[in-house]
Amino acid sequence: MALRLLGVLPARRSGLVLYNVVVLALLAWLSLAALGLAYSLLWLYEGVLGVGEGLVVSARGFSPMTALISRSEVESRLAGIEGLSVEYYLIAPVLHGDKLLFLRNTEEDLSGECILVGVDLARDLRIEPGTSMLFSSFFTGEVYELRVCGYTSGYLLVARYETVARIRGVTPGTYSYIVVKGSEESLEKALRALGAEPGRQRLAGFLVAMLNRVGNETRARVYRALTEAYIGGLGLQRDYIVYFAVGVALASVLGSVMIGLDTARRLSETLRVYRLLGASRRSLLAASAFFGLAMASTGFSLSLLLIGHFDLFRFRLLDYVLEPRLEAGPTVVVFAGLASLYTAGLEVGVRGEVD
Amino acid sequence: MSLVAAVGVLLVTMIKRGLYTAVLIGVLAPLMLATILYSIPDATNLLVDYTGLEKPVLLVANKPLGGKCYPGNILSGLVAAGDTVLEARVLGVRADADTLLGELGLTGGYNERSGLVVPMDMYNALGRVSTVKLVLNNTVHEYRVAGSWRASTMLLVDPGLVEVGVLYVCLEPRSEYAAKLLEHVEDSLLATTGSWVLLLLFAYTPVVYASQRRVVESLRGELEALYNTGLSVARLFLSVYAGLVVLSALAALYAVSVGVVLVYTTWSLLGFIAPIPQPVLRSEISFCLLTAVSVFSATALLACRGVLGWH
Repeated sequence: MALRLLGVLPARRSGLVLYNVVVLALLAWLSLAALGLAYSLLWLYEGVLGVGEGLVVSARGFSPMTALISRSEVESRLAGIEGLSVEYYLIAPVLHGDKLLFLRNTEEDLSGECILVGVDLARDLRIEPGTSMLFSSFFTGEVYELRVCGYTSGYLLVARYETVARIRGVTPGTYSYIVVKGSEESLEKALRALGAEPGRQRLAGFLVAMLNRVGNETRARVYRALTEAYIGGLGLQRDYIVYFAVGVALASVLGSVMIGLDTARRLSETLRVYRLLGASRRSLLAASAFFGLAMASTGFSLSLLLIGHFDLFRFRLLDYVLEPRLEAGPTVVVFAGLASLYTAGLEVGVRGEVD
Repeated sequence: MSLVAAVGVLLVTMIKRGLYTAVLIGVLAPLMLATILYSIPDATNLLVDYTGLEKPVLLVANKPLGGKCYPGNILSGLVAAGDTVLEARVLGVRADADTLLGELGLTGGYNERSGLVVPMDMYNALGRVSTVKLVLNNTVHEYRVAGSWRASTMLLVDPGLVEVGVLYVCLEPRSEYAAKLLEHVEDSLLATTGSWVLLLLFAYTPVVYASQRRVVESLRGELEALYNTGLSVARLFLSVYAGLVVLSALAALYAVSVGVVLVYTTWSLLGFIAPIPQPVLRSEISFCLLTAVSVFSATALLACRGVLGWH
């Protein structure tokens, strides 16, 4: 009998089914967008700088673009540790007109006045190799004319170290961040040498060691992301942002309880007929639970399609476009919240109608 | 019985019987979230602790930007001192040298009306002279060297410069530029938040409609009693509708208030653990509240019609 009810509902009450799916999809879409944007924000600097893996060594500051670290200090600490490859990066914020761009050093053999322009940036600015560009240094306040010699990936400008250091106004041997790569064992040694305890951190993948000079001693703290390391300096913790985002996502799907209750009320006539035909209370509750889960699953699948096809929720941060970034864990949380809240509302409603 | 009295009776009944709970559940999530999201701290507060931002930065663009702007151009020419002749790229600015260079902090006590700031390498190659000859468009000019800088381009500041008109050279304090950037980031964040909140509000329309319908259905007994006192059906419909709108508006106001209390309490409590910037409640929340009340008024009409029919 309950199975028959499940078969009848989509055919006879297609309007109600469609209404449920659309509303649930909309609520799930908004929840996923909120969570996705919060996660994108947490990985902002990694995206802007194009840092993908390794142990990133940086220093306290407002951002990786303003912090400075001495190459010799890191070199002396890492000396003697075998199996490490170290890359040194210096970032200079430059202004082109009123646009803020980031210039990074490269190991490539470029002449002093040559820069490579990120393809996305070149497309935006309509720049071709051979043209000259004027940049103002945010730190020195001076104007520099550089020639575009080719393209690189992303939204960055790339020049040789000496040019970047001159524009950044720093002495040679100073960098913004250093990327250390190697085996898990070598990285553990490197972390200890930098003055940090590896603890329970997973060394493979991505980690940030933030150096902080206290008197004559340099201490290092380990973080899971660059953004986390810098927002920590502003008094915000990554976990607060994650909890807040999950809270927002769950609050967005909270309305599904009312939708479940309302659906049960709209099905009251149908439920009464089935009750008269001899359907047991338990079978009707089981059928409504199946119906609830099916509606929530369909609505959630539709929301995944929506988030994949409509980039409505994205914002530009210093010309870097942030789009919602879906992570497996939070996605499951949203689905679990939607399915359980909606089904619970439906079950309570059906129980009321059947009794 | 008058319309106002009927509305009063229905409102008191709704509150006494706790019917506001359903409406409150419907409006709480979108409006509380909107309040929290529109209370993010003012981004420019992040600049307070950073010194050295008062110095200006020299910006070159093809339109006037913020700060003081002067007409300018990028020119090619030759620079000569004694027997040394070098090719030079010159950023020419039509301005008073003592004013512009003083504000830029490149020179101290330079009182000439025109002058040249020469790249460090070139300054050394020319023998660190105090006067150079500059050839621009086959015309020879003589300028005093006001100073040197790390840039590779020469800076020529001359109030009588004629080769200008393509570019603008602007002086803008770094603090103002940084504040503008942070405001831009904040605006972008709030715009995205705004569209998200607005969509959430509309996504919650069926939820609010369902809760309002439940309220009207629960009032059947009271409506019959009011009808028996002689209130016309049309007035009865109007009084239920007005009562529902007032209840929804009160619930919306309550949701916003809860959001404000939540934000400031959290900020105060987290303040014991770490210094967190103070939240700033934006005026956009009033627009959000007005939109919500308008939407809830429309759903109230549909809910009344759904239960009572048109009269």
